[in-house]
Amino acid sequence: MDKKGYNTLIAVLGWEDRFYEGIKSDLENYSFQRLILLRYQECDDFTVKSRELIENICAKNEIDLKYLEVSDLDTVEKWKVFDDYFSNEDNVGKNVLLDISTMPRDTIWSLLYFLNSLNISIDYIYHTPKSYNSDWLSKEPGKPRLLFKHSGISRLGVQTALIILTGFETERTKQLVHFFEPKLTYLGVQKGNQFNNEIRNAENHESIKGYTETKEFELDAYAGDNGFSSIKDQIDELKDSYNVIVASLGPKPTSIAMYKAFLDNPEIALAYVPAKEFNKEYSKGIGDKIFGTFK
Amino acid sequence: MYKKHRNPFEFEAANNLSDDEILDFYIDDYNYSRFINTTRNIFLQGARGTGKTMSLLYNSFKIQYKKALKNSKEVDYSRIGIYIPCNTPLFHKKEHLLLKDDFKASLITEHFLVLSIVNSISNTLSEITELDNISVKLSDDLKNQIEYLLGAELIKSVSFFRAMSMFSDKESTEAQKIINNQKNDDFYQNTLTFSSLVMPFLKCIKQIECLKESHFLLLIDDAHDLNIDQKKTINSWIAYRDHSQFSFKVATAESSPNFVTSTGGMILEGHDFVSVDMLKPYQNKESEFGKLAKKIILKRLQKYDINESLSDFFPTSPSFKDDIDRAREKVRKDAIEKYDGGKGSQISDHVAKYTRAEYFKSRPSKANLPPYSGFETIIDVSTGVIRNLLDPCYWMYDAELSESNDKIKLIPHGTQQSVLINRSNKLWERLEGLDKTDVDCSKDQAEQIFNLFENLMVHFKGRLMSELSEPRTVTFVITSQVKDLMEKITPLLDIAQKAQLLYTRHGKDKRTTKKVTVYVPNRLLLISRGLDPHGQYASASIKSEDIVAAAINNKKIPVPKTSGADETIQIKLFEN
Repeated sequence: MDKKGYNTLIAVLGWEDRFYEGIKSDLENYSFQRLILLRYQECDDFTVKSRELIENICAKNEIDLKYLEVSDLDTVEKWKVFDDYFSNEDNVGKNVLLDISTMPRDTIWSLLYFLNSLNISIDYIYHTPKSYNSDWLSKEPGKPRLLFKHSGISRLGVQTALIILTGFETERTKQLVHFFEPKLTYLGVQKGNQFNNEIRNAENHESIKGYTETKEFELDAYAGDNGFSSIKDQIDELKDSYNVIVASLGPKPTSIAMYKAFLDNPEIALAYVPAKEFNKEYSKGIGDKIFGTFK
Repeated sequence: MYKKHRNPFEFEAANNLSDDEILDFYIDDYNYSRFINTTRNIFLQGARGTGKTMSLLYNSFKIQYKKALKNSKEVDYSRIGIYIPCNTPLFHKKEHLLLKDDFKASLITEHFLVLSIVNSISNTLSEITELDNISVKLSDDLKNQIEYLLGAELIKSVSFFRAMSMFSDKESTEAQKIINNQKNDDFYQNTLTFSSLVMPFLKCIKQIECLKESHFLLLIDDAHDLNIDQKKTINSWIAYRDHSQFSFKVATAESSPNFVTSTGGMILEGHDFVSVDMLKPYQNKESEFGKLAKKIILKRLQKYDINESLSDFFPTSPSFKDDIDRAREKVRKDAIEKYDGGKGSQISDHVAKYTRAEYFKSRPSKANLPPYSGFETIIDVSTGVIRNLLDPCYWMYDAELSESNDKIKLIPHGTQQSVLINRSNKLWERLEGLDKTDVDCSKDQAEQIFNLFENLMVHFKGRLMSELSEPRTVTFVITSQVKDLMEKITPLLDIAQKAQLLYTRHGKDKRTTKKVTVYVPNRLLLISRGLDPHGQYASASIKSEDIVAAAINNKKIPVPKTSGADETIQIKLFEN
């Protein structure tokens, strides 16, 4: 059977096992003309080995490899780099596959913004790891930010509600609540008990107890819609009475669902928490893959 | 679904409270109200949780109007406080940074600020029945004037203030749509400024009879969330010399706010504005924090029909009381022997100074942590910050609530102790990993801050076990300051302050009368190190080289061996 063909595969250059194994799997299962790797300068020391492996595999498969250098230290410049490159269809072609496995959430949203405006076909793929580091994942967080062009339409004199799709780092949940001081916070939690979800959910609640009114809702990042219907329900419940800010700290595919919800509700704001340092042992191995079509 | 108000000690952001809750919970502090109600420009400075928002909200006209109605008193229109929140998604927007032209960026952000102010004024006054019901003729006149000035059309079917509220919201929405969707520097053309909208609007409002003599207090909350251009804009307005119609009261958590104006000038303290340190609610003896804390907690308990005294609701451990009594007796005997019977207040002064030290000193080295309990201890660990006062109370109540559905009449001393130790341990956990949780703190800085606090605790313990004249000192001042060393220390102290692990107060050295900065570690940290959170009105003087050595090389901070002139600085913090 013929492999599905894309003009371009876009990913973020990473160092975890699932980065190289994921790209290798993508190249085995689909065909591409080019691979664009977003190369974060802050992580360059971690990715020496990955670059060697990727350069070899691209050469072997005769795929054009392009590194696009970006930095999280200058968000304006990063946005402009994306704008310059991804606003031009000649640079990406008509069909794109985004490998979001090691892609920061704000980068996923930024790419969807620029690529979506080109009216091209966008699929995405996410490779889960076998396990995550139980100690820490990221350090040196910056202040929470609203993504450029996705900061919503804030009504004057209206209180704030925050929807957080929670993840491993309860500190980030706490940071978002302390920063935005919302009247209401809806905590989205992953269904099931994988990766000690129940313990973490309790920690998330405890970290913000007393600071905001809270409600919990369930979603399934691994369902066909990556939790879109659950996210949409929460937004529908809140949007008439509050300025709604949404943030995804949970499984990456929910970022895609969240972006779809944003497109339906451009008055809401997309928030993220940048971090300067990531654990070199962020995750181990490669697990299942999740594939979806954005457009 | 919601855990709303089951706990009297909820400490959610004050601007999320209802008007009635603000009236119910706020303890009016004459000193703050006095500052806020002057016609001068004021900067209220203080860390999160020090009561800035509550003070502004309470003094807003919306609340003062409701208070007057509730107490059947005449409404005072001489001061109209307008609460203007800045921690809103609108002020977190960053699209202006994408504009190539900095001037355009500053215009659009001033536009948002101006519309927020007008919206807040309009919403506040539209809720005042007498103002919302002004005659149709006057309402139309005022609308006509604004329409003429702005070339805008105001909605006809509603009152003047409602029309202005809708106008400002509509303008803000349109500007946001444009800035969210533009691809280049195509710019929103009709930006409004303080002088093109706020000032004419205030002029219009003053045509209403009861507002003719009013002074508008523009209460800008969370000003640290404004961008640099918006801060400069406000400073430029503050520099405006005529304060007869309006003044600004700016609340910020920044310890060093920006005082630069849009034209590059500076506003000057004393000349253009007055600063009020919210961490220093000790302007006189009547408003000291301990009294304020008692009023806050009592009011909250009463609101929940808990009519116990604070000593009954937060009982002190009997064993602690007994041990303190024993320590007092021993210290008294020692004093009588030392002073050969003693003269005047010699014995009682000695007993007051050394009893608690004796208690902590005489505890076996392998004993568990002391039975920390009692309302005085809760006040001590708050370090003078209202949110720090409510936090342990909240968790104590929560712990009792999880055990029983009955009405809670007291927090047993055992629960108090375990919650205080637990909250202290949590704060230490945070201190150990500041780079994981706090903004702009590197791994090295996190380690150095942790070393510094560990060594400070060891130093305080050393003092407690010594024969020094001020053994319970738990604050410090930095002496022998060397520029190079201070450049290493200052960023660490700044991060610790932002993380609310450290507070500063300003005082005078009693001997030299020189101004000094007193560093006050969050006293909750003292609990899991077995120290006395009560402290003393004196500060350890620590050389800058010792602070650097403690932080960077993890070296112990020397404890003076004997009582001497340099061991402590007597600080006069509470000036009348």
